[in-house]
Amino acid sequence: MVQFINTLFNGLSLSSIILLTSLGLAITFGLMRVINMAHGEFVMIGAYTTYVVQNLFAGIFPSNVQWLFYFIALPVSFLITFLLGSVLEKLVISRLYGREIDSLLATWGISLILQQAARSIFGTQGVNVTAPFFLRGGLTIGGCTFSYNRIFILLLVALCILGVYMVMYRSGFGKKMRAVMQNRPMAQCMGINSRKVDNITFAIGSGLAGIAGCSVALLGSIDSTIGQSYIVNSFMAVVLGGVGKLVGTVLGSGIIGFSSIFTENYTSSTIAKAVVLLIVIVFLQKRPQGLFVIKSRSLDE
Amino acid sequence: MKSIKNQGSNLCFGIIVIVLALIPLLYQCGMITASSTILFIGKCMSFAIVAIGLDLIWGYTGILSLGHGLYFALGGYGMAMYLKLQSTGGAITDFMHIGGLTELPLIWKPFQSLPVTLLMVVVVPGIVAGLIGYFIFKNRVKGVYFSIISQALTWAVYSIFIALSPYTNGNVGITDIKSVFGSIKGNMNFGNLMILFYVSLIVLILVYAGAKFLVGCKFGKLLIAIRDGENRTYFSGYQVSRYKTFVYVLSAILAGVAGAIFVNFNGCITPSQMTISYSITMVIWVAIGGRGTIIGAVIGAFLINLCEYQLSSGGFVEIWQYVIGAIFCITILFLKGGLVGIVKDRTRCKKKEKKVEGRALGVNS
Amino acid sequence: MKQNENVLEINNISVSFDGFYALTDVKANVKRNSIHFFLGPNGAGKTTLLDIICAKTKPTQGTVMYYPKNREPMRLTGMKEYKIVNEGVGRKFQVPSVFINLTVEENMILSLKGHKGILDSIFHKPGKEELDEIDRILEKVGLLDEKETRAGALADGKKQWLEIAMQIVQKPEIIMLDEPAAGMGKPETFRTGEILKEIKKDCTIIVIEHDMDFVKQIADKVTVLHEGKVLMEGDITSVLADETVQAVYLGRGGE
Repeated sequence: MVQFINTLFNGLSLSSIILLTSLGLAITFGLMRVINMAHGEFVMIGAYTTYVVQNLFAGIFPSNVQWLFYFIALPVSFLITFLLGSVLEKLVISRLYGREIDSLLATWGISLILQQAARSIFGTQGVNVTAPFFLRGGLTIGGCTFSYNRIFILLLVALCILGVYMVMYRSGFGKKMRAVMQNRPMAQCMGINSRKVDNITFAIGSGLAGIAGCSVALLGSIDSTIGQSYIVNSFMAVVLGGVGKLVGTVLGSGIIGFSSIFTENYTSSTIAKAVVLLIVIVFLQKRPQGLFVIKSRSLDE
Repeated sequence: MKSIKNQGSNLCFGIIVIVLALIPLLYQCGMITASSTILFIGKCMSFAIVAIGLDLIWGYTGILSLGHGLYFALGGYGMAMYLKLQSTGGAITDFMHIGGLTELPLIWKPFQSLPVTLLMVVVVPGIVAGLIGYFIFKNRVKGVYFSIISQALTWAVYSIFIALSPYTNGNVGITDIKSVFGSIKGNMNFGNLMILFYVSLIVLILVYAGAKFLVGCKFGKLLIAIRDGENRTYFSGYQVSRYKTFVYVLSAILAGVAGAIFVNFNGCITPSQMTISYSITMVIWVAIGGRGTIIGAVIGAFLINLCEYQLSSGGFVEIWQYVIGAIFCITILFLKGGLVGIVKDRTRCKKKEKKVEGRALGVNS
Repeated sequence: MKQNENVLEINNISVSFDGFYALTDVKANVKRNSIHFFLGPNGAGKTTLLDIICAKTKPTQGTVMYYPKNREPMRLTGMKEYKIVNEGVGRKFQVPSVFINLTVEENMILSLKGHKGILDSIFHKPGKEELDEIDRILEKVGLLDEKETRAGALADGKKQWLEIAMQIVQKPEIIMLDEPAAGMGKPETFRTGEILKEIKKDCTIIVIEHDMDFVKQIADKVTVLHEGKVLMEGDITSVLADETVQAVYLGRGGE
C-alpha cells in the first residue's frame, strides 16, 4: 500500500513536471501551429535565471532571508523568457506562420545558439540551485514521504493551468487570442491587431517555459542540455492529448507521467520512459489526431 | 533549359569527384601533410551519402525525418560489430565481460562474417524503416506529426541502446577498431587507406547517379507531387503511403551504408551519432546546400563539415555553434533553396526568364 | 437492362458531422454518358456528396454502387480513394489543385491511366501514343503552347483547364467536376461546356456549378439538393419551372 501510494505520488509528480514544460508548447504548438524547438532552451534559461537570482541574492542580502530569492526568481524567469519569446516571435516566428516544418528547423537554429550561449556564460559543468529551506525535506504520513519541492511543483502547475485558463477563457485578451487562432482574416477584419496578439501569445508560451525552468532547477543540476531532456516528452504529451486542446495536454502529460512511473517498477527509469514513448507512438497510429479531436472539413490541412 | 540545369549539377559533382580522387595523391606528394585530413574527407563522403538520402525524403517528398541518425548509427554499429569481432578474433569483448556476459550474445553472432555484415548494414535499417514507415504512412500521419514522432522514436531507441550496455557498451560505444581493409593509421598502412578511400568514393558516385536517375524519371516527379499535394496525388490514383514508405526505406538504407563507411574512417562509433541533434545536423547540411537538388545535399555535407573542421581545429568551437545556428536559421527564413538556390536564381536572372512565384518551392496545396 | 443505363447509383446516403446531418437519405442515379448536375444553395451538401463518391468522406449510412462498362459492378463506399480513381472515377476539386512545381506536361504524365506502381514509375516511360494523346488533349483545352510551363505559373482559369485535362487523360468512366467554371469568363465557360459535351461520348460527367447558363447549355439531368436532401430531379426546364426550386435556390440568386 505504502509503495502504491508512493508510486502514485511519483506519477503525479512526473506528470506535473511534464505538464509544466508542455503547457507553453500547448499554446505555441497547439494554438499557433509553431513548432518551437527552442522551447527546451527557454526552460534552460528559466533554470539559469533562477541560479543567477540566487547568486545575486547571496551577494546582497543576509543569509536568513536567503530563501526569498525563489519568489523573486519565479517572476523574473517568467519575465525574461516572456521578453525573449516576444523578441524571437518578432524576428523569426512571425515570418514562419503556416510553415510548420520550417518553424521547427529555424527554431532549432535558435536553440543551438542559446545552448552555446549557456555554455559560454556558465561553462559546461552543471550548476546547482539550493532549494529554499521550506522546500527541503518532505511530509511523512504513515510511512509515505512526499517531498516538499514536488508538492510545490504540483501546486505551481495547478496555478499555471488556472492562470492560462483565466487568460484564455476569461479575459478580453483571451477572446482576441482565440479569435485570431481560429480565424485570422476574420479577426483582422474585426479590428484585432493579430500581429500583436500573436506576439503576446507566443511570449506567454515562452514565459511558461521560464516558470518550468524555475521549477526544474529544484530537481537537479542545471546545464546547457537540460532543456533537451524535457522537450521530447513534452511534444509527445501535446500530440497525444490532441493538438489545440488544453485538457488534452493535461491528460497527455498525465498518461505519459503515470505510465512511465508504473513501468519503472519493472525496469530502469530510462527504459521505462523509452517504452512508454514507443507505446504512445503505437497508440498514435490508431488515433493520429490524439485523444481530443477537433473535427474539421477542410480539404488539405 | 532543364538539361542545362541538370548538366550544371552533374558538372559540379564531376568536379567534386575529381578533387576527391586527387586527395590521396596530393598527400603522397606531400601537399596535404596530415593523414587525418584524408580520414576526415572520407567521413565527409559518408555524410554526403546520408545527405542524399535525406534530400530524397525531405527535399523531394517533403517528409522531415528527425531520426536519420538512428539509421546511420544502425549501419555504423553493424559494421563496427564486425570490425570489433575481427580485432578480438571472434571472442567476446571486454565490455561484455564487464557487463557480465560469458559468451558472445546472439545478436553479435551474424557479424562474424563480412558478407552477412554487409547485408545487415543494408537490411537492418531497411526493415526498421520499413516497419515504422509502413504503419505511420498508412495511417496518414504527416507533416510535423511525423517529425515529432520520428524524434521521439529516435530518443527512445537511443535510451534503450545506452541502457543495454553489455551489448552495446552504452555511452562509450564501440571503439578501437580498424577498417575493413585493415589498419589505416600510419604511413605504412597508406595503401589500405587508399583502397578504403576509393571504394567509398565509388559508393558515393553510385549513390549520386542512382539518386539522380530516380529524381529524373516519373518517380521523382511523383515525389514532388506528393510534397506539393499529397491528397491530390491520392486522387490521381497513386497509393501515396506506399511511395512514402519506399522513399523512407531507401533513405534509411543510404543512411545505413553511410554509417558503415563512416565507422571505417572514424575508427569508432558512439551513440551520439544516434541522437536527435545529430539527426538534425544532417538536415542542416541538406538545407544549407539546397533541398530538392541532389547536388545541394552533397555540397552541403562537404561544405558544412569542412567549415566545422577548419574552425574547430583552429579552436573556434564556440563560435562555430553560433555561426551554424545563425546560418541555418537564416537559410530557413530567407533562402529556401539553399546555396544551390542562390546560384539558380542568379542564372535565372541573367537569362531574364520570367519569374512568377519564383520562390514558391514546396508550398502546400 | 439496368446495368447498361446507370453508371452510378447513390443509395440512401446519409452523413453526419458531429450530429449535424450534411446529407439525409440522398438517392440519385446517374445515367451513362450523360452530364448530370447537382445544384443547390451553399451548404446543400453537393461537395459532401462528391466527397462520399470518391471516398474522401465516409458516409454514416448508405452505399454508392458503380457499374463500369463491361465489368462487374462494385461498391465505392469502403474502397480506398486511389483504387476508386484507378477503377475510373476521377474528381476535380473546387480549389484548383495541380502540382505547382511540375510542368504542364509532367502533370499530365502523372495523370495517365495505369502504371501507378512504384516500379512502373521508375522504369516505365510513357509511350508515343500516350504522349500524342496528351498533346491532343492539351490542344483541346488550349494549353499546348504552355506544355513546358510550370503549372504554378499558370493563370487560375488555365489551372482549371489543366485539371480538367488531367481528368480526361485518366480515361475515366465518370468525371466529377466541382465548380469547373468558377473564375472563368463567359466565353471560357462556354468553351468548357463544349469540351464537356465532346468528352461525354466516352464517359459520364457529374458537375456542381452555379452558373445557370452553363447548366442550360449542357445539362442532361439535374438533381437539386437542399439542406442535405434531394429536392427535385429532372431535366433542366422542368427543374427551372418548379416553384419550390425557385423559392429555395433560384429566388435567392435573383435570377
